[in-house]
Amino acid sequence: MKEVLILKKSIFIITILLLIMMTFSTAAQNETEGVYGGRLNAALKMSAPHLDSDNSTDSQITAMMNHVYEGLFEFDENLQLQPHLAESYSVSDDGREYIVELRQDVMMHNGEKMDADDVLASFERWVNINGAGNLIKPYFDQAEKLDDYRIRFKFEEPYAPFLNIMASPVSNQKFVVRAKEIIDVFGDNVINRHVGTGPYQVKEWIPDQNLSLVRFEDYSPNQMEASFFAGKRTPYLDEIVLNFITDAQVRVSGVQTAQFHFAEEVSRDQYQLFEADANINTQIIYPDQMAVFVTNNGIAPFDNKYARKAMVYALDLEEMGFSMVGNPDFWRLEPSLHEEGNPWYAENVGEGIYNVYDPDKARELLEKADYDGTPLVILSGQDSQVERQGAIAIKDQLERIGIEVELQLFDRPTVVERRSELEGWNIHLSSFIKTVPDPQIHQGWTGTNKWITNWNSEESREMDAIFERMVREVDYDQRYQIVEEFYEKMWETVPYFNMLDYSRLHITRAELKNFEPAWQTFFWNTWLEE
Amino acid sequence: MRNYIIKRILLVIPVIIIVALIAFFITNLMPGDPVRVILGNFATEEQVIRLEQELGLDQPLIIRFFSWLSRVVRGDFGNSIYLDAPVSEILLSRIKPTFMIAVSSQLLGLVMGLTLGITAAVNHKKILDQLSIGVSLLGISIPSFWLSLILIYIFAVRLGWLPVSGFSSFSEAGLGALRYLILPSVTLAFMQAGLIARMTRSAMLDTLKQDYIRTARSKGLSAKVIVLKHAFRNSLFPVITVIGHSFAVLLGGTWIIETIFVIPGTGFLAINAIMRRDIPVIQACIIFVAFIYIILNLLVDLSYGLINPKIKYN
Repeated sequence: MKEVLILKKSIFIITILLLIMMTFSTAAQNETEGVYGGRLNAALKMSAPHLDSDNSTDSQITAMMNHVYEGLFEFDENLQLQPHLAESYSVSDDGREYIVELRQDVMMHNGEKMDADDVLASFERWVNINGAGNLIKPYFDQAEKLDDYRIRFKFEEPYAPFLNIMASPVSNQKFVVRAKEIIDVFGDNVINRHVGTGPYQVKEWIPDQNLSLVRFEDYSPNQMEASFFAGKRTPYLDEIVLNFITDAQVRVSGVQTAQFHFAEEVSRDQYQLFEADANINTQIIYPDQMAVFVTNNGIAPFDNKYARKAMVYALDLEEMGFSMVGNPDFWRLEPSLHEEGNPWYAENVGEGIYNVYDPDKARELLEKADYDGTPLVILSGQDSQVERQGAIAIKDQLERIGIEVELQLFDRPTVVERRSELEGWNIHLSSFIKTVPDPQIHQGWTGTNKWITNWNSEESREMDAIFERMVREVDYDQRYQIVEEFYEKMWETVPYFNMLDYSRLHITRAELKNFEPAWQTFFWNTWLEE
Repeated sequence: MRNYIIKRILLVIPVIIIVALIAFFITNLMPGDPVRVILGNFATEEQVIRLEQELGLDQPLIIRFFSWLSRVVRGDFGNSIYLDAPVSEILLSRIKPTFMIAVSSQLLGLVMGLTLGITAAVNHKKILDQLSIGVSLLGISIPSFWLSLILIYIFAVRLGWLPVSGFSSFSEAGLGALRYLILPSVTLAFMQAGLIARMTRSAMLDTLKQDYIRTARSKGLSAKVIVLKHAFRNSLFPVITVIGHSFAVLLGGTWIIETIFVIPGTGFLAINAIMRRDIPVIQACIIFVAFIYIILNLLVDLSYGLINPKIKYN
């Protein structure tokens, strides 16, 4: 009888232990493993003309097609370059040769395996027709196939930014691998049949309405740990529908009603409202955007560096932050063009000038620059809240110290056209992407000795020389020193400057799990839970 | 009658040519270079020149005009700069949603407007009259974009009865397509109803004062017969004119509503084209709206003869 009791007791204890173990293991599994299935509906802010990233500078194309195409290299969440379709790579000591070994057994959407022919065909097309490819063209010699899974990229001169530019989200378009058979058919024309290696493939594309993607069942994931665009991509969702909804409030309502699981770029003013809603998660993007104060350096008064420096002293940047963005959760003062954590971040740049609000000093510098009091024309966009409010705030602050200002707010096409002129404007407020993975790819400097600010003087040529050295230096430490030199020169001559960094706000439904707030939105590794 | 119709149709041709002329020059002279919009902020001058040549924008304006006009008279509006597809094909693919929204709004607006107008006239200077005037005034005054957002908030966000945005045709979704039509149609119909109700009320009040109405009453005819058979039919002229014009206005109204509800119609196409400076598409949309407007006016004029056989066309 006693034995039976002990046995019963033991069985009871074991059962309890098993139940506890099962509960914990299920919980642990839920934390690490997603749920397959479901259709995700996302509301994006704008559409794209087509889906061929090589044939456009529109970053929206890359953002959407990251699900379909992959690069040889991709960036992780710390903007560190990681091999993706590449297995490994080596760079020669002189920086003229890159040998890239490809991953084997990577399936493409046409059922074929990716090999060096696909990569070479894609690379040649990208170099020839894409703006990013054009950046490297002056330095490039040839790409050759060593065997089915090895490629050698040769340069005529040492070229340090090569791998970063190939994976960059800001260098017009990143390099992605397409099936050679598609490139043979379309050549340089816009591709409308998409065969890549990504976790999703295109199901349907209706311009101005939506892009529908379905899981690629034979997807061959990279086995590295997932981190933003690098590492393992798991396509949990059966289908992803990217809808183009231009009105922000409609995007918000769509998430509130569960019609959409994700809404891109919604009003920051509604942040508290979203925070109070249990069905909605807020996603603040960081690093994200920079509000850049651009001067027309081709004409007076900003052809003189003292006048440009005067603008830095004339602006109360904290006040600007509140005027342009509002809630300080969404903006921060940052003089560096790279965010903290970025390999090219430089601390203490702009010391003694950035965020030193000193109207007297500004007046003194303007006098030194022989500024004759001609009204300054501020040219800015009226569609973006940051640009519109920023331009108004700049006007107010400059008028406060006695500078006469004419404010011109237009829609984007008009602003782009007018800003390309040499005359007719003095100040322009522009938004630059903050996620700059290589110091050579600053948006203000196009890589061809042409400054967006009409800057063409002895000072700009000195800066070009710094960039030239930066391009050739392949050693990170040496290159970092050149970057510091660049910052020093930049704050000495101020061709343009970053007023502040700011973040966009996205929202997601609570059912959408494991969403990562990256600079370009992606939905692999996310899943839906009821 | 036949001669009149032929004459009116022939008159459409010079009007369309004038519209085309205005559309061409306005779109080409408006600020904002489509080439720079396509290439972005950091395009080099070489890239700009190359694309201008590709798109034919490097030619003098007058040469471009005649080349464009010669194609337009053959129904060829060229290729969309942004979507890189024939404009006529794009436009044709967008007519169906616009037509569905416009017709459903017009029908709804007619029912609401006529009901409000007749009720107001029959109950002249009573509370129902005041209420009807108030509702129709609201219809005219409330901006459609604001009303649409309010309706979305109430019926989609709060009550969850209808979708926030989107569109589906009857061939794809059957009766489910109605769910997508309701909010945009009601938004537009509210404005239509306001216009139609005010004109119906005014015309009905005039007619109800006529001698033959008094005679009808003295003959002992029922109020229903007097209002619907005698008064309403004789009030139709101004009402039909307003209906015709308001339908044309409605086509303009869909531009905003289609954008808010993401309905892939001609309005949505036009608004996007303006934002992108897709000049061939803007031109085609202007000519399309003008053409519809002219045709509607013609139909309104011809309908007078059908309503009142006494009218003769010379």
